[in-house]
Amino acid sequence: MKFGVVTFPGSNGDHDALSAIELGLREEVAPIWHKERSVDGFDALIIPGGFSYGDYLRGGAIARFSPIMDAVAEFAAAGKPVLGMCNGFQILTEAGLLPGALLRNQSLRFSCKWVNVRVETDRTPFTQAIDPGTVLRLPIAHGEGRYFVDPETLEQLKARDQIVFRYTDAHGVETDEANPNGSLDNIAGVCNEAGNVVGLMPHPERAYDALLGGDDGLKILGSVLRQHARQVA
Amino acid sequence: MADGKLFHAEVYVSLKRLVNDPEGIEIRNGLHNLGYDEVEDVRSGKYFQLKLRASSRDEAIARVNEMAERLLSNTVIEEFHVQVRDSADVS
Amino acid sequence: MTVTDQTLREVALTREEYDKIVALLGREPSPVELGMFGAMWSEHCGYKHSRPLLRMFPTEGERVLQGPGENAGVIDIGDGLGAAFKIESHNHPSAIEPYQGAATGVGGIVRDIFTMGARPVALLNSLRFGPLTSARNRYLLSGVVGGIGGYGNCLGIPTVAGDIYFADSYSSNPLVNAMAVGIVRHDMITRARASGPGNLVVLVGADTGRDGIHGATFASVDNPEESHRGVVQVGNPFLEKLLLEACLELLETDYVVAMQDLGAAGLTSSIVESASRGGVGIEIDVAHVSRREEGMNAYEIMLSESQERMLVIVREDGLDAVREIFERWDLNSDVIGKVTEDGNVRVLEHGTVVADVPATYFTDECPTYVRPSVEDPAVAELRAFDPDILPDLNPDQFGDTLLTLLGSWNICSREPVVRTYDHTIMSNTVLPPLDGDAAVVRIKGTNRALAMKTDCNPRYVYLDPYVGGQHVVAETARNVACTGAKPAALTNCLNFGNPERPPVYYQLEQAIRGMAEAARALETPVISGNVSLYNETDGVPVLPTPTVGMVGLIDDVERHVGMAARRGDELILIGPRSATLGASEYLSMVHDRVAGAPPGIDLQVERTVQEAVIELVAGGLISAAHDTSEGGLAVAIAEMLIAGDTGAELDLSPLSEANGGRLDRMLFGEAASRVIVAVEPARRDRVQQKLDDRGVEHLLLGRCSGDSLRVNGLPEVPIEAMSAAWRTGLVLD
Repeated sequence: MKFGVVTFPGSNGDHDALSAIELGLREEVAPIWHKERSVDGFDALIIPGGFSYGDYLRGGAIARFSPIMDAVAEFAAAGKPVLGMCNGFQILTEAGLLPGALLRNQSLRFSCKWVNVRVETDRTPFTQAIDPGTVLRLPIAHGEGRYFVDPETLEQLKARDQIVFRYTDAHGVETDEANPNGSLDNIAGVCNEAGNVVGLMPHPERAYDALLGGDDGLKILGSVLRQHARQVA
Repeated sequence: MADGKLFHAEVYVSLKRLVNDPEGIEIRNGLHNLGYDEVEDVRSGKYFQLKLRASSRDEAIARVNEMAERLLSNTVIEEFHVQVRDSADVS
Repeated sequence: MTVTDQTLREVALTREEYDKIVALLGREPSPVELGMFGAMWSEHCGYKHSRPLLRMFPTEGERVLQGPGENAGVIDIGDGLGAAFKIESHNHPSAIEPYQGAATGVGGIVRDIFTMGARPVALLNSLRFGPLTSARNRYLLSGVVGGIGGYGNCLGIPTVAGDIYFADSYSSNPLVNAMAVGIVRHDMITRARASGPGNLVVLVGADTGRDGIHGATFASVDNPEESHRGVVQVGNPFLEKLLLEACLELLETDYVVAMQDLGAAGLTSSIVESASRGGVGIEIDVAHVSRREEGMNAYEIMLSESQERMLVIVREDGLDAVREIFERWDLNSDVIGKVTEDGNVRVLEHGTVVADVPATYFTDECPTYVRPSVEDPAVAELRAFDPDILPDLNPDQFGDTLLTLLGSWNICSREPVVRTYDHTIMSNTVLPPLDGDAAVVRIKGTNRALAMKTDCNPRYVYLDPYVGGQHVVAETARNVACTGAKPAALTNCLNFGNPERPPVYYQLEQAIRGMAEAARALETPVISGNVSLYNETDGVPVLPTPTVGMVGLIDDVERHVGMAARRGDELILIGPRSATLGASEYLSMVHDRVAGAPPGIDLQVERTVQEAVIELVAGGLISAAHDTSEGGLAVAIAEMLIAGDTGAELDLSPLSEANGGRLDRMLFGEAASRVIVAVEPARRDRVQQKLDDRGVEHLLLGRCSGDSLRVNGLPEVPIEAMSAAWRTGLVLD
C-alpha cells in the first residue's frame, strides 16, 4: 500500500506522518508537495498536522486553495481513504470535504497533552480494524481544536454514523473533564457521508512507539491496510 | 496592477450568534474588572482593510463580498459585513 | 564637525570610544559608519565588559567540534552527527512587549542553529519574573509564555524543558533566555566565514523595515521601559519555517560558502562578522535590499533588526540553483553585494560609498573594559548570617510547611505553562517536560538520545557568586545525569546588572570563575553563550543570573529514567547527609530572609555521585532518580511521590546528627551532590554494592507504600494534599 503525505508550506506533521508509516507500519510512503496536481499511484492520503501558512487567517483557510487540493477532492470523491489530523482536519473542513469547523479552544490557550478517545464506528478505512467502544490514548497539541457544527447538521452526523471519535475518560465515559477544548458533544473526529474521508484533532502519527508514550496511533494508521470488504451506505 | 479607480474596503468578520465566543466573554470580563460594568456583551472578530482597483463602486462591492465569502470568512461559523468607499473619500 | 553628546547617546558610544574610532580611521566617521560602530561596539554585540572574563571558561574537549565564536557551538554525538546548541537572551524587548519579545527571542536562537546547518530538534527556555502578586508580573509571564509557544509551536520544534523562577529584583527586569538544540551531520556543519573574492552576498527572507533600529544599543542600557519604546519587532514564524527548510535544503548543494543569520544589529553585524571571521572584505549596495517601507536610507537599512532574514555567501556559479530553491519556498532573495579581497566592509547607496571601514575595526578593535571588582559589603554581611540561630521547625508544623513549600512559586508544578508548549512534535520526545530532571530527546536513526536542561539558582549566586557559579554548572549537570545521561557540554547566558558598578562587576567575575572551575571538574566545556548586562532599573540590578543550558548523551535510549517513584520501590539517598539553611528556599519562605552562605560544594564528590547515578541507570538498576534542590530533601521526596502517585514510609533519623540535630535542616536544608533514587527491593543490594565500589555515601530512607508520606516522628501528610498544593501553585492568567 502506498501512502501519500500532502505537504504545505508550514506543515510540520508531515515528518512525523512519514516516520510513523515508514518506521511504525513499515509501509511505503512519500511526500506530495502542495503544488503538484496529481495523486496518481497513491492508495491512501494523509493531510498532516502543523501550521500550514502559519495558521494565518484561520487554520487551513489558505492551504485549502492549494493546487493539490483538486486532486485530493477527486480522490475523496472516488471513495478512496483520506485521513486528516489536526491542521489536516482543519484543511478538510475548510475545503468542504468534511462537515463542521474548528474554532479556538475554549480555554483560549494551546494545549498539549495525552487524551483518551473512544472509537465510535468501524465503517471508515481508518477504524475498520478497531472494535467500536475501544479507547485509544493519543496526544493532542492544538490551539484551535474546538469542533463545531450547527444543530441540524449534528443530528445528521449522528443519524448517518459520521462521528468517528469522541473524547472520553480512560474508561470510555464522556465527561466534560475529558474534553480538552470544548468540542461540541466531545467530538474528536468525524467522517464524510461516504465514510472514506476522516478527520481528527489528536495525532495518531505521534503515537507510534511505546518509547514516545504509546503506539495506539498505529491502530488507526494501520487499519486502512486491512483487506476488508465494506458496504458503503 | 488592475486598471480602474482606487477603492478602500473594510470587511468585518465575526462569529455567528449561534457560536459560543469565549474570547468575547473574556474581554467582557476584562472590561468589568477595569470598572466598565455597563458592558453587557462583547463579540470579538476580525477586521480587514483592502485597497483595490475596480471599474466601479458596485464592482468593488461585488468583488469584496466574493473575497469575504471565499477566503476572509468561514461561512460555517462566521458572518461578515463589507463597506466600500472610493479613495477620494478616505482621509 | 564634532559629534554632539546627543548623537553619541543615540548610538550609545562614549566620547573615548568615539575618539578611538577617529584615531583608527584617521578621520571622522560618516553617519552610517557611526551607526555601525554604535551597534558593533555596543555591549550586546561587542561584549566589552565580558570578553576578558569569558576567557576563564574551558572551551575545548574531545567532543567539541565548534567552540565559542560561531553562531552556535557543536559537539560530536557519535554516528557522524553533531549537536549544535546555544542559549540567548531577549530580556529588554520582553519587558516592553512580552509576547513578541519572547517570540522573536525564539526566532533568533533558532536561526543561530540552522545557520550552522543543523536541524533544530528541541527548544528550552529559562524565565525570571517578579512575584505574581503583581498584575504586571502576571501579564509579563502570560505574554512571554504565549510568545514562546506561539512561535515555537508554529515552527514545529518541541519545547521540552526549562525553568521559571520568581524574585523581587526581576519585577522591572524580567529575564527571557531561549535555548535551541539541533542535529547536524559532520559534513554539513556550516560556518559564518565569508571567503572567495567574487562570491556573491545574498540576503533572503523578510523585507527590511524600520523596526528595531538601535535594538542592540537598547539592550545595552538600563531602564528598558523608559528608553527606546517601539523597538520590538513582530515575529513571523511561518516565514522562519520556510527559511529553515530552504536553508537546510541549500546546504545539501555545494554552492554555499557561508551562512549567517541577521540578529542584533541586523545587516551590519552579519556582514561585519562574516567578513571579519573570514579575513576578507564585503561590499554591498543597499539599493538592492528589498524593503517594507518607503524612503528608507542606508543608515536605517544597515541597522534595521527586521526579523527572519539570512545572509548567504554563494559561489557565483551556484546563484541560479540557489535562487531556484528560494523560489520554491516562496522566499524573496536579493544579491546585495560581493566578497572582496581588501578586508573592508564597504556600503554603497545607489553607487555612492557611505561607509568604508576595515571589518576588524568593528570586531577586534572593539574596546574591552576591566572594571574595579569590589563585593558589596552588605552582601558579605548577609552571607555571614548563621541560620542556626533561628528557632527550629516545630514537628507539628511539618505538614503545613511542606505543603506551603510545594505550593510556592519557585517549587510548584509548571504544568499550566508547559501544557501550552507542544512537546510531542517531531516524535522524538522520550521523557517529556515535568517527568524527569531533564528532558530526553531521541536521535532518529540511532539508538542514542540527548538529555537537556536549563537552570540557575540566582539566590546562591547573589549570596556567594563564586560558589553559586559552581552550583549552576553542577546542578544542571546533575539534572542531566539523573536521567542517565553523561553531561557533555554547556551553553550559558549571563544575566547581570550594570558592570560599571564594582559590586556587579564582582558578581560577574566571580560567577564566571566558579562556573569555569565546575565546568573543568565535570568536563563540560562551554561551547557557546551570550551575555546580557544592564539588567537593572533605577540602580537596582537583578539577582545575578548566570543561566546554564546543559546537554548530555545517552548511549541507549531505552536506558533512561524519570523521577516517578513506584509503589513498592525503596528510596535511597546518594550523597552528603549534611544540608544547610543558608540561602535556602525554606529560609526565604518561612523566615522571610535571603541570607546565609549557600551550601558548600565539593566538585569531586559531585562528579562521583553523577557518575554513580549514570551507571545505575545504564545498568537498568533503578526506576527513578531526582536530585535535591530548592526545598531540600523533603520537597524532593514529595516530588517523586507525587509523580508516582504513591506514599512512603521513611526513617530520616540517621540524618539528624549531620544536621546538628535540627529538623528544619534535615528536612528542608539544601545541599549539593545529592540524588534520591527509587529501587526495586530485589535490586537494592546490588545498587548499594555499586555505590560502595565508587566510594559514594548512601542511606536507605524507606519504602514507597500507602497514600501518605509517613516520616518517623512526624505528622502524616496525604499524597492527595501534597499533589493538590503542588499542582495549583501556579495559575496562568
